[in-house]
Parts: sequence; C-alpha cells; structure tokens
Amino acid sequence: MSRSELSVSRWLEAHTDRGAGLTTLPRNAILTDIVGNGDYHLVITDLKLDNDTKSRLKVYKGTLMTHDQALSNTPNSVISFYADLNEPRIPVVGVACGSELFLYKNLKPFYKCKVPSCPLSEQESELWKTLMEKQDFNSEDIIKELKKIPFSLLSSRSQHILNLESPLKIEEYIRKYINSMPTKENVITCMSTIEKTTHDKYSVNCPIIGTEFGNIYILDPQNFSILHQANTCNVKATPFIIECSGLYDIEFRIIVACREGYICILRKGWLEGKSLIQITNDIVDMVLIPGDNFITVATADKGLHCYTKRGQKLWSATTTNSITCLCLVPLDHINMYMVAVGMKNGLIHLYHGRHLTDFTVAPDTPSVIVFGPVGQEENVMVIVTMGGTISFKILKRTADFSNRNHESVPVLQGKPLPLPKRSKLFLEQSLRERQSAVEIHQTFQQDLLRLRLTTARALVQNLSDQSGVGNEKENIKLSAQVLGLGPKFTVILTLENINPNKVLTGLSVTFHSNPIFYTLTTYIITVPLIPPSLSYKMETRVQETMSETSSETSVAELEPAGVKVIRVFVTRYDHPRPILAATINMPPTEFMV
Amino acid sequence: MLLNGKGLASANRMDKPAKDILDCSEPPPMEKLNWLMHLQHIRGEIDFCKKIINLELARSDGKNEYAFFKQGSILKEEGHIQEALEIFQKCLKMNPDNAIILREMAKCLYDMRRFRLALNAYLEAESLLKNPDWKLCYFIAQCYLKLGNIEKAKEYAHKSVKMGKQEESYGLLMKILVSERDLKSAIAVSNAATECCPDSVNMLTESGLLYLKAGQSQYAFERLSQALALEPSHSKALLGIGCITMKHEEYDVALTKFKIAVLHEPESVALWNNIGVCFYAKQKFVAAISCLKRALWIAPLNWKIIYNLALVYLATQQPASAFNFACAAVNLRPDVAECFALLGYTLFYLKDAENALKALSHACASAPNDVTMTANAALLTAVTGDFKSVLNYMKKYHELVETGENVPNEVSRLMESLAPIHQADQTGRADREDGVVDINETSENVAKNDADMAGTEESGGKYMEEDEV
Repeated sequence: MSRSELSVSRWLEAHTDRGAGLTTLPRNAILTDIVGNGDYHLVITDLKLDNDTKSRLKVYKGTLMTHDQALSNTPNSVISFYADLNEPRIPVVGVACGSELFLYKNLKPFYKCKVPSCPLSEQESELWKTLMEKQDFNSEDIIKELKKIPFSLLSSRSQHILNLESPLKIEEYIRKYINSMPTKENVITCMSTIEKTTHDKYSVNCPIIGTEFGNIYILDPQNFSILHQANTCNVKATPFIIECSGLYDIEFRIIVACREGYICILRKGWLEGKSLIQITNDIVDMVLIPGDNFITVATADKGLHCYTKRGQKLWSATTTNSITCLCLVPLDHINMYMVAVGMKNGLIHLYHGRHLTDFTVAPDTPSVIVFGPVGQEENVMVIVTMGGTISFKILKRTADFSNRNHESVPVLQGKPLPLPKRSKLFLEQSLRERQSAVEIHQTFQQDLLRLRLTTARALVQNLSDQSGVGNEKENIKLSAQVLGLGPKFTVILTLENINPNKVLTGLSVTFHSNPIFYTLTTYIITVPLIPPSLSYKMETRVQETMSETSSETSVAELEPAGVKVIRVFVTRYDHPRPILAATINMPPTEFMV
Repeated sequence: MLLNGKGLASANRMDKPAKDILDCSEPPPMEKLNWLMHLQHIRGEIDFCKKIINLELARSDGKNEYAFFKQGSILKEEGHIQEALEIFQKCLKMNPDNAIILREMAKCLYDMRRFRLALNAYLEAESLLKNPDWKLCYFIAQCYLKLGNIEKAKEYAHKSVKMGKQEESYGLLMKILVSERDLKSAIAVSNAATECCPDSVNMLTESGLLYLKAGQSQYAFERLSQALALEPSHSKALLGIGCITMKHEEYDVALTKFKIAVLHEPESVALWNNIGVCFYAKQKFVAAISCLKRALWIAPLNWKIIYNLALVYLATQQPASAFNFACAAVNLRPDVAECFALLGYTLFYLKDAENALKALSHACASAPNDVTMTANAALLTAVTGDFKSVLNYMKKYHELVETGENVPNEVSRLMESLAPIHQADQTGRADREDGVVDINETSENVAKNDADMAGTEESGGKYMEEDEV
C-alpha cells in the first residue's frame, strides 16, 4: 500500500471506551432498530462466568449505554427479527441461554421457549418410570443400573447422582426428583434468522437454532412452534455457526459450520444436512456473502478461504495474524460486499473478494465486529475487543473503494539482489591463483598430506597413551597414576565399572615389568566385586633397581622411546587373554647429587 | 412440541415460572459450555479456555469428556504431547467408541514418531466409523508411508482422494507416486487435482514441476504461469518458470524471476544455485561465485552447488580452487561420472595430466555414452602420448557419433583437429605444437561442456529441493 493511503484512513474514530469491561463473543452483538423509530441501537451481551455475577444484556443508544439487564444463564448468541407485520415495526430480540431462547420486545421480555429435550436412553427412562411408580428404592441398585449406561448419554440429573458420594445424599437427591421424569437438555450452540416470504428490510424472519446434539430447528416467528426440524449431518457434527440465504417459504440454504470442521448444507424439506466442505483446520468464523452466496471461512491457521455455494474452493488467502472474528460489511450505496477480518493484536483487514482493500485498527484483539447503521449514521463499525474495549468507527461518506492495485510485480523486480561487493582481497587472491595455480595446488596438497600425517600421528600417540584406557565391551576403564620422584614410586590404579547396571566380578590385575629395572611389592592383585558405576583403587610400590651396570647393559630392552615401562593386564579368572592391557611410562628417577 | 414457559407477563420472574420449581433445580446440563470452550480455544484465547475447562471439570467431577478433549488439544498445541496423550487416553476410557478421540491419540503418537502405534490407533478408528472420511484415510496413508509400506500407503491415499477430493490427499498421492518414480501417474493425479481445485496455487505449481520433471516444459510453463497469475510471488513457481527460461538461454528473464522469488525466500538453496548459474552463463563470474557461495553456506553438503562452483572457478582460471571443489564433489558423489570428469579437467589445468587421465577414464567407464567425455579423454591421451588409447577413444567417439548422439559443434571441431594426431601415431611422434593448440581448444570445450552441465544441473538442484518439501 502506498504511503498516501496509509496516512488517510477511510474511517473516523467516533468513540472508544477502554473502560467498558465487556466480554462479548462473536454473534453476541447486533445492530437493531429496537424501538421502531429508525434509531438503530447496539445490543450486546456481556458474558460473566463467575457464580456471583450474572451475564448481562446491554443496549447502547449511540455510544451511551441506555439499558442493562441481567440474564439468567450464559448467553450464547443474540438475534433480532421482525416477528409480525404490525405497525409500528418493532423487532424482537432473541437471546439464547443454555437450552432456552428468551425473546424481548421493546426491551421487555415477553416469551421464553425451550428447545425440545433429547430422548433419554431406554434403560434410564425405564429406571425412572419404575421409581415413580414404586416410590421406593435402593440407592445402591440405582447406582449400579446407572453405571451400565454410558455417562454422556445420561440426563444431567442422573449424572449428578453418579457424582454424589455419600449414599445419604444420593437418597435425598433421588427423593427430591422422584416425582418427575428427567430430561436431557439440548443446549443451543448457535442461532440465526431466515427471511420468511420476502426479501425486504422489514420482512418477517424465522429464528433458526442449532443445538449441541446436532439438531437444527426453524421456529415460527409468531408462536415459536417448530416449523421444521432437521439433523445437521449424517455424521456427528455439532453446529457452531449458522448462516442462511433464500426464503423459508420458497427455497433456502442453511449453511452450518461445525466444530468438527465440516460445513454442511441444509435445504428446504431436507431432514438431514449434507456435508459440503470439509476443512482440515478449525473453523474460527464464517460469513455468507449475499448475492453470489459465497462462503467465506476463517480458519485457525490464519487462513481465509472462499467457497462457492456448491463447495468448490474459489480462493485462499493467508492473513498476517491469526483471525479472531469476521464480519460482513455490506456497502449498499456502492453495491459492494466486503468482509472485515479481525485479527490478533487489533488489526482489522477488509477484503473485497480475495483482495485486501482497506484496514483499520482496534485498541487490541477484536472479539466481535458488527457493521451497520447506528443512530442516524448509515455505516458504522462497532468493535468489542478481548480486553473489553468498545469502539465505534464511522465509514466516511467519501470513502472510495474503487480498485487500486497493491504492490505490482515490476516494483518487486526493481529491487537488486543483495550481493556483496567484490573485495580487493578477493581480486588479489584470484589474480595470484591465476598466475601460479600449479604451485598453490602443490603446496596445498603437500600441506594437506602433512596435516594428515600429523593427525594420524597424534591419533596413534593418543591410542598408546597410558592414562584412561578402557574396554567398551567389558565396560571397564583403567587409569593409572604414578606418585614419587624415585627411586621409590607408588603406582595407583583405578579400575572403574562404567556399566550402570551390572557388577564386575572375578577380575585380577597383573603387573609386568623388567626385573632389571623395577621391583614391585605386589605383582598380582585380586579385584573384589565392583558395583555398577563405581571404581576400585589399588596401589603397588615400585622400587627402581639402582645398579649402574644394569641401566647401561640393557639399553636394548628399553622401550623404543627410551622410557622404562610397567605393563598392566586386567584379566578375568580362567581366561588367559587379558581384557585390558595398559602400559605405564615410568618417569626417570631424579638423582639428587 | 416446544416446551415453552407460556406467555408469562411477569418479566422479572420469567426464568422461574411458578409451574414447577422442582424442574428448575434440575442440574444444568454437562454440555452447557462446550460451545464456549470450543470458541475460545480456536480463537487462541487459551487462558480463558483453560479457565472454563477447569470450571467445567470441577462442576462435572472430572467427567466432562469434551472438556478433557479440549484440554488434550490445548496441551498438544502447546507441545506437551505426552501429557496430551494421557488426557486423550482418559477421554477414551470414558467413551471407548469415540473415533475422534482415537484419531487425536493417533495424531499425538504420530508426532512422537511412534508410527506403528499411530497406525494401529488410526485403523481402530477406521473400524469404529461407519463411513470413514478422507482425513482418516489420509492419515493412515501417511503412517504407512512413514513405515515404508508404499503399497498400502498408495491404496489409502487413493481412497482418500476418492472420498474427499482434497488438496492434501492429492498432494500425498503425488508424493507417493513420485517416490515410486511413476511420473506418468503422478501427472495424471496432478491434472485431476488442478481440475478439482483450479484455484490452488500449490497444486498448479506441483503439477507444473511434475511436467518439468517429465521434460514437458511447454505444459510445465503453462501450469506455472497459471500459478503465478494467481500469486505473483510464489517462489516455488517462480523457481520452476525461471528454470524453464534458463533452459531456453534467456538468462535475464530467468534472473528477474529468481530475484522476485529470492525476496520471499532468501534461504532457498536452489534459488541461489540457479542465480549463480545464470550469472555464470552471463559471464559474470564474481557474482556467480558469491551466489553459489551463499547457496553453499546454506547447504554445505549439496554436491551440485560444489560442482557448479568448481565450474565457475575453472572459468575464472583458478584451477587450484576448482580442484578443491571438484574433489569435494567426487567425495560426496563418487557415482556421478560428471564429477570425475570435472576433477580430470581441473587436474589437466594443473598440469597433472596423468592423474587427469585417471579421473577421466574413470568417468568414461561409468558413463560410456558421453560424447564430450570421450572426446576429452581422447585429447588427454593424445597429450600424454598414449596413442593406443587415443585410437580407442577415437573409435568410441565415432561409434557414438554414428549412433546418433548429439554432438556439440565445438566437440566435433576438436575431434577434427585431433585427427592428424591419429595419423601421426604411425610416425610415432607427437607434435608438440598440436598439443598446445589442443589445450586452448579443450578449455573452450570444457567450458562449453560445463554450460550444458550447468543447465541440467540446475534443474536437478531444483528437483532436490522439491523432494524435500
């Protein structure tokens, strides 16, 4: 994006309240003409999880909160729709809490409907029926019976009984409920509305409800009876977001995004939805673009994907941050639909098709975005962030979204490759090589050979070094230490058992030296058991024989390097071959004259 | 049907209709907040999610399967795979028939590289599901692939493609087919994939690269152009298209493509290698060296880069450096005849004709049908004065020419100039001057030969890169 675009935003910051402290989730904020005079209000829920504070339903007139009332349960979603054709046209606001839908008109609650509960498993209903008849029971038997049924299939009442510990409480609890059949509530997980007969701003809409156990209900807007009931999919799929297009009376498509990653479609008359798209990653949000009915899906891996209504993928884009919510931005005056993409860290991108056309920022990560009329203003974006800030942004009437190409390919090509400059040293060296390549080569090869030779020598030296000889196979390690200046020395041997699991037994150490040079106090040491990872120390005293003659006559018997040695062998009983052998180079005696 | 709480007028009591107080105190359902856990989890509000999970687990006395499931998923995402696995096992104990949990467990095991166990879990999940989905088949295929059972992997990948027509499954199937060197089927699959997801840049690119591998650069060019039309900065497609233009000796065009790609993927070995080769072809040796060095810095054991570097050094008349790189290339890939030939050429420049001949004859032995190598070997033997071998190599050369091997002009010119020696061997005297001329000639010939090499080289380099992905 060019700099000029950056500086001039298309959005006016109308109001930001950082202290609002709201916890509002997606699909929990709507803009609706709540009193029927064309003055659009913002209706949101404020979720509270603590036991002592209740979640609240809040209404903002303009930027001011005008209404605030408690909700009985955790709100799941909010809808608003016109239920009838009566003048003045006042919409109904519906709030789904648990398994119930609360309906408000003029901000007054006027109706509550409950989603039909799930059928109980046969065993459980049988059990409670007999209980009701007999009015007498043995709590242990009941527990036993209940345990036979998979826990998740039980009604919440029976689940609670199983969780109770003392038999007294269990009995009390059962007594309390003995006169009624248990129900297994079907929690509402998402809601939407569908136009009934006409496409029109004031048309009558039917609420649609999706539940935890995969049912979809379409309700009658007047008496809230069930008009149509269907299952989401033929596999286990929990509705998560519902979007619809079409008219209920004629033909419609309900698109259901599921927790399991399916996007299912449900059409008029179907009793069971069909899986349309399967998405590998988790679906974060979904909007349906009116007109083409393209499905735009945001996934947890920063992906934004667009599919046709038949489930063919149109395009994919990757966003800079992970997406937290989507919002459809319809601009009726220029007949354009955009999608606002709220991302972590507060960035909001506006996509038109696959193209990023604009962006704006929120104080922190947006939790929910709504776009529509607020008060007298036509195009307002309301953002409630994760941090609880509420922010209103007005789209300037002069905002122009005509096509503007972003960074084009020729611009990219203009950038030169980041290559280092040729240095003088490099040139000099290559010049020299050109002049005397053969010599350089030969010297290099010679030096290389020499280096190899030195390395090999060092290796040999190291191998024959007396300190720290080991035998990996037998897991022993021997090190020697010579103390003293001579002619008397003490040789200390340390035999270490490297094996962390096994003990070493049956070893003995033999010293071997030329009697002309040295006499030792002991020549054979029997080594006791060495526990794993421990070592055993032994010592022997060495006396150098100080005869002048011997040292001269037996030069031939000296080691090649001219040092006198003592050899050490570690042997196992009955085995003639030593398992470890070492040579100790003895230091020459320092004669004190 | 609907159990509504009748049209109560009393607003403040609507949540407690007087009808049956007992029913109201029915404990809230266990699944009450599942939707919230899921919502906050996928939006990355992990702390919030953990709070709900703990609340829900406390409320249900540790029996809420979904809360456990989410807990496991979060742990897995945080990288605590062992803990996640334990949680999933707990979950499975609660509901032994849940294929989804089994699948998650298998994913954990897969991440822990215990493919055999993962496979067993997947297969169990498959047997639990009435109609297994493409994802499961895809995972099973992946496991089989890891375990080296290509046949089974292919079978499941096929199944997955049939069920889902998803990009991922197509990709996997293509990978399996390519690993079996069945390019034809792989191309067929890629065609199906591009038909199925016409907008997938990855599939278009993959298909283009497959065509390139099969040598059908026209189709490859089409596919890659399509991919680039959708995403002008897709570095893999740019690499492929650059490679094709390079083959047509339009090095400037190729360079512009690579330049864009390298901005988006500054650590790509293949890209830097190809840029280096482009500069080499444009006779900009210093730039070529720095690009190849950069590539080598990223992948120090890539023999193709080393080989190319040796070529460039030969071109800048630095045979000592060239020798070192050629030597390294030979050590890495003793099975590639070209490496030995290159070593021979460098030795020739270092005036070590004897060893040069050894290297070259080794190269000729492992690639007996290479015209240039045979010609160069003939020349070398002529220089060392081994006229008997000259005859042999000449004979071989003529045989190759007759069998219709494509002979570059320079090579044939060289051989013509060698012809007098061929006759001179009767007189038993090598013309010294001829030898000198030949040396000049060879250097050109070698260079020419290299350019060819670099071309094939380069695509090779790209293929390698691709296999990694």
